[in-house]
Amino acid sequence: MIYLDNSATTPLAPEVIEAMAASFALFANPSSTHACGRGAKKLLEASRAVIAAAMSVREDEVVFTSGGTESDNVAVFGVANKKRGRRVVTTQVEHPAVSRAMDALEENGFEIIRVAPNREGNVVLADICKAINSDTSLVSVMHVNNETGAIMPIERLKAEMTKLAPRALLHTDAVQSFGHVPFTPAKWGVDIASISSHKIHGPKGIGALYVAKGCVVHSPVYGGAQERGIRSGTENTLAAAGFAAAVKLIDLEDSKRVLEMKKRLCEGIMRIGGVHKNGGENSSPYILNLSIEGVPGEVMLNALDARGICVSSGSACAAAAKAASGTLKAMNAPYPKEAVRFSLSRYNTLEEIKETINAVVQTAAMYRRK
Amino acid sequence: MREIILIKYGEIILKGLNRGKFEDILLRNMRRALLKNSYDEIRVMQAVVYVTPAGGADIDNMVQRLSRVFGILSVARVLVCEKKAEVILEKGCEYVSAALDSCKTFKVEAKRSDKTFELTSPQICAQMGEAILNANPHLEVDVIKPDTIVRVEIRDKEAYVYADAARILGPGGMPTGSGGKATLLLSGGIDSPVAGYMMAKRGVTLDAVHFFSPPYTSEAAKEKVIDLARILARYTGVFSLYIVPFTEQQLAIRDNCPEEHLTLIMRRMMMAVAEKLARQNKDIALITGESLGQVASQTMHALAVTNDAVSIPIFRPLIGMDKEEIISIARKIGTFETSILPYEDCCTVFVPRHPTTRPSLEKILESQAKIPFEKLTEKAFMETTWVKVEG
Repeated sequence: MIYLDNSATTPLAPEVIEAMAASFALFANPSSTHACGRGAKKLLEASRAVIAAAMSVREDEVVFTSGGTESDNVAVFGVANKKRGRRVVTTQVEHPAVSRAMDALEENGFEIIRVAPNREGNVVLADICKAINSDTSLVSVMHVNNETGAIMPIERLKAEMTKLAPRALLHTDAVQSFGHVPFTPAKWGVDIASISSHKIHGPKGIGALYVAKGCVVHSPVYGGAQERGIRSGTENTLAAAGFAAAVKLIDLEDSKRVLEMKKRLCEGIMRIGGVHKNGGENSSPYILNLSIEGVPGEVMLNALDARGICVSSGSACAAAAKAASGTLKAMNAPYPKEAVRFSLSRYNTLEEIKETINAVVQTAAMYRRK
Repeated sequence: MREIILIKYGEIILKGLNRGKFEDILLRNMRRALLKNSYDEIRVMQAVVYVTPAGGADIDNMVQRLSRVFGILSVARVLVCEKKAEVILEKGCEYVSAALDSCKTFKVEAKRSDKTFELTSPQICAQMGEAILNANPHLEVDVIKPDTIVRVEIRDKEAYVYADAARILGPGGMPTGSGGKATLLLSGGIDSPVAGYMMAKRGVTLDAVHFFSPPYTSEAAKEKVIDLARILARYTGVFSLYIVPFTEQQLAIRDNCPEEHLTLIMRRMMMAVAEKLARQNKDIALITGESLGQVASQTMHALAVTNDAVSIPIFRPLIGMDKEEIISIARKIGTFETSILPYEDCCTVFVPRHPTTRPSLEKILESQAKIPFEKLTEKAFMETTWVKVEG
């Protein structure tokens, strides 16, 4: 089997499985003060330290959550605040975890400005700035788009925001970027950021928020006030250990080899003609989105599936809902229904890429409408 | 506390001399529906079936399974108690209380097959009624039109007590296997499982056939059809699902025939393949979920064109039903939620933009002649695989 759907989720790294197996015995509640509890707490805090270091942030700025969706929801609802400003600025290409949360804010009387991307799927800094006014309390822009891999200008955004709306806070959904492209939220002035474990070969069911010191989050989750009161609930120690083990394996050098594979895959498929790349140069090495004229994305997906190759048409979340991709529509992609997303990982090989090219080329020849 | 299950059956009662045959089939189906070792005995007396659960059996589960067997009108749990007036009054009254919660009025009916019992039937009714009234102050007696009837039966060795309100209705109809065998064309949609259900309810034993077109339809879509078949099999018992690969045929039709005729030529080929399967399995008819006028291929003209492709009878139990009626049955039998799962979109590749609604057979045959219809039909038939489907 060739697995090229790593933006949906990734297989567990062997090291992660080992680390989790070794942690199974530490069952206790990290909030308990007895020896068992202290043991669990130690493991939890050690895991937090690893994740903090990978983003170059302080340990107490990392809050564990159940994953990307929860991180996004807690960030959006916890930071948007009418007293600081009624306006919230976001983009037209966010993951549903953010875009649906924005819809809910809108129903609650917020003014939501959704900035459009350019033809390559990138949202331009100047366009975001144009949408920000002094009544803005939150700007939420994803770092890497889950469908096209487009990289957004998070690095320079906060500096511009400060000039326009000094009290506005910046959230970024970094689920598809953390571990794949440089991500240093503290350095960039990001106030709150979402990351997830299962996109980088860690277990599902755990993610985190980077919450800058001093950033006040009115969390919608109430309970025992764990995780700075932002995410109540007994911490998932075992998954945190797995998450940390996955983070330890991050090596940005990998992305060079992955980028090579992405280029090969792209060129190999483009050669047949009538293939459109959805996305430009400024994108993640891990995501390639192509529309193959005359072959519906679903057909390509099914045909590759039959040959043991796993890809996706659009994002997995949108595929389940059967909606045409909002991201591709927003960027005016010419053949949105024919889009196929190949998402790579460091575990893919050049051999697999070659085999995939062959399979795509043959499928296109067979099923392309004459 | 000991309980048995009492089952009333429907239309079979109307049968004359061959009623025994129908009863035998019903009892066989009931045994098949129940888990092995869940019952000690199943016997029929005067058009009532008594099932004695084995010790420790999950009686609720048994009732649920039996309530899906065609031919059964109602299923009730019944208290079995010692044949002593005081015991019957005390235990019986306690037993029916829960069922009486939702009723306002009741009456008691008693039957004695043992005429030596200490009380007469009217005495039983009066005393039981009094006991129930005392225990359930919200109730009143109404002998003309009560909300429910509490029944007390004095048998040779023991007494039975139950309330009609606690009965679960069965599907009615005729026992599966009493009405011949037919092949159901099963898509992933809402209608065809309902059509299969309706015919099985009339005693028909099913085979089913599904056409799939990879990569235009997904593996998930095929699995969904198998899931639907499984739900159907809860009512019909085990059946065979034939799976026909149909991509090559669809592509040949798409690439060679006029666009507005695509669907009808495809339907004709599906019927032809299904007929071959039916004949092989000694089935005597096809069943489809077509409903008059629902889509372009289901107008009267279109159905006539489809029928022409085969000589086997085609039953269309939904022909006169509205979509809403079909959906309400689909909900009742539990196929609706699975039917609406969104997997079928790819098939739109083969749907003409402007299908013909008043086709003439002559023109369709002309279009059909552009492909090797017989050869493609035979090929699909030869490549068919099958799975056994259990509820």
